[in-house]
Amino acid sequence: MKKTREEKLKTEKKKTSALYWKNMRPYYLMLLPGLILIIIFRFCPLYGMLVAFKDYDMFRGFSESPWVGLKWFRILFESRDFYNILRNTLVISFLDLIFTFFGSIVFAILINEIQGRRYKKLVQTVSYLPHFLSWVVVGGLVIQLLSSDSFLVRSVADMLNIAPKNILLEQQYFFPVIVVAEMWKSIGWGTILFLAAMSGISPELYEAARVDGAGKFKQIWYITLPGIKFIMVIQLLMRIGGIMNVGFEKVFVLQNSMILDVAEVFSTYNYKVGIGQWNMSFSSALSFFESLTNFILVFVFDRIAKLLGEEGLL
Amino acid sequence: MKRMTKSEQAFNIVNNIFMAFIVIIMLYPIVNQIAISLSSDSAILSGKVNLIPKGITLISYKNVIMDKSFANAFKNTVLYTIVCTFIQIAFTMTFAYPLSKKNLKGRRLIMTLLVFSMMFGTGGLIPNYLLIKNMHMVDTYWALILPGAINIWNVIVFKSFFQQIPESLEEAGKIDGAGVWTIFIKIVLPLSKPVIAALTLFTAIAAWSTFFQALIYVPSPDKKLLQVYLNDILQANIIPSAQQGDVLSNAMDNAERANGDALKAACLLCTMLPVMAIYPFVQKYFMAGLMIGSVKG
Repeated sequence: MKKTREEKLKTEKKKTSALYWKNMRPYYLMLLPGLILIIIFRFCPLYGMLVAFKDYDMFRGFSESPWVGLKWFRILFESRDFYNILRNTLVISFLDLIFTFFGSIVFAILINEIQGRRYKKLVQTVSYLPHFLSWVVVGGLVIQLLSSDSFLVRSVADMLNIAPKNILLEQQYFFPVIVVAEMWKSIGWGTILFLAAMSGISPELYEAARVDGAGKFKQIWYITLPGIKFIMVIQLLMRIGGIMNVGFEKVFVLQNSMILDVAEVFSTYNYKVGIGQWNMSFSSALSFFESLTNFILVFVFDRIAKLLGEEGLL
Repeated sequence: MKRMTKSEQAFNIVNNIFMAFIVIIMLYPIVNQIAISLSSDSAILSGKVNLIPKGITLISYKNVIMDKSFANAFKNTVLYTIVCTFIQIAFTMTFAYPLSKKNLKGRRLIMTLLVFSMMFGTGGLIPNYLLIKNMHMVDTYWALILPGAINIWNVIVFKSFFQQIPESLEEAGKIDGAGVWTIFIKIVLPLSKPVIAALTLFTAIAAWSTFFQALIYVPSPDKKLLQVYLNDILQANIIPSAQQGDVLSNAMDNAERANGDALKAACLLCTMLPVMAIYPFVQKYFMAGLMIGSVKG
């Protein structure tokens, strides 16, 4: 089977290129629509990013608008909003990284330790479910659960003997709320890759460890964790690369005008500046800054991972 | 079953209890909202509705279903989801098939472009908006469908699946004189049913959840998608007029809001319903989900 394939490849190469094109033309025709779509919708906007270096005027169009160099970047870095948004974005990202990413690893280890097959399946099925709900729905659940007349808020308020309040209107609760919402939605689905990696670990390793008298925690530390190290590093790299992208939808559905000081992140701010105020060049400068930082972060952390002897992402 | 030591048994018991706790947390918000949506205003207002509905009534569902803009948004979303899923899967599959041919010249280049595009993203909000506007697609569903018609991640999944199909099967078709398209449609696609089914379900759920794009590109109220509609409902009244300190309006507002809570809950659940309905089928394909994740670059 394998040999015939190789032989075929060889003879293929020997064929004249005219014959190659005749044979392969249908394949290229199949590629064509997709390639056109990709060039238009994925590469043209990259060129459009140059709006960030122009004074874009809707009536004059892209090519007629004058170049202004780094003007919008200067305005961006001088604005007070920028540092506020940067802080919020980074805080939310890091909290997500700690609680959702590492939480998923812990959760995967615990799921892996469940002995009953049916129970294991149940835990997985239930905890994957929220992943498939949209952020508007999850945001809606949060809004409803935290409104001042929900059972949950009433009970806690009664217990602490205080008046129930609407938690979403208070700044100090925003970060915890958004992190818990993210955990609820993603922690289950986040385990899926780790569980796959764990199922590849040979049971004999655990047996041998048990014979040597290793307890559960030692087994997890010396066998399970090294077994998923590769996937952990890859996932961590991808996470760090996306540290500036706190998703628009989850913040947008949970924010309101009372808590914007802590609840505005790059994506939501960009939306308000771009689509709300039609300040297109400024908004593009913001996107440009975001993409550039992401790229640098991925690149740097990929290098670090390689220095540490791991296979990198790039 | 292997024999467990005392400490292992203790670990298992604690772990099982903890897992039960997690399951409860995962289900609580949904069960609570089901109870709220079925309860009477006064019960909700007194904050007593937890897991079991009090003063059962279907009025909030009736209100939601009778609401014209809800019905319209629901209809739009069903239609949009079907068309979007069909186009995305058809285009992505067709694009991935040639890339599974190892002797295709330029294959490397295209794969590199795809990975590059995944790494760099698509250039941010405004460049994309200007593109859509210049193509006169604002306020049409095409603005939501075409940019994602080729899903790069799924291209990679389809490609690796097609590569696993034994070449001899396609070879047999070729000997019978079948063209590339005939082989693709008559031989390759029927063999790829599981991966097509899995990705169709995932794509449909993603299409059903479309929010941000719809918010930006489709502003007309009569073209509103369900997620945008739901967001409007949820955001209404989030800052109560109680802040103004008027006692009377406070009471009025409370009455209105209780009613609103049941309505919001019913609306939330109706939006979730299709996803919940296909979830059991999706579950069959978690392995495919595994595959999606495990393919690197």
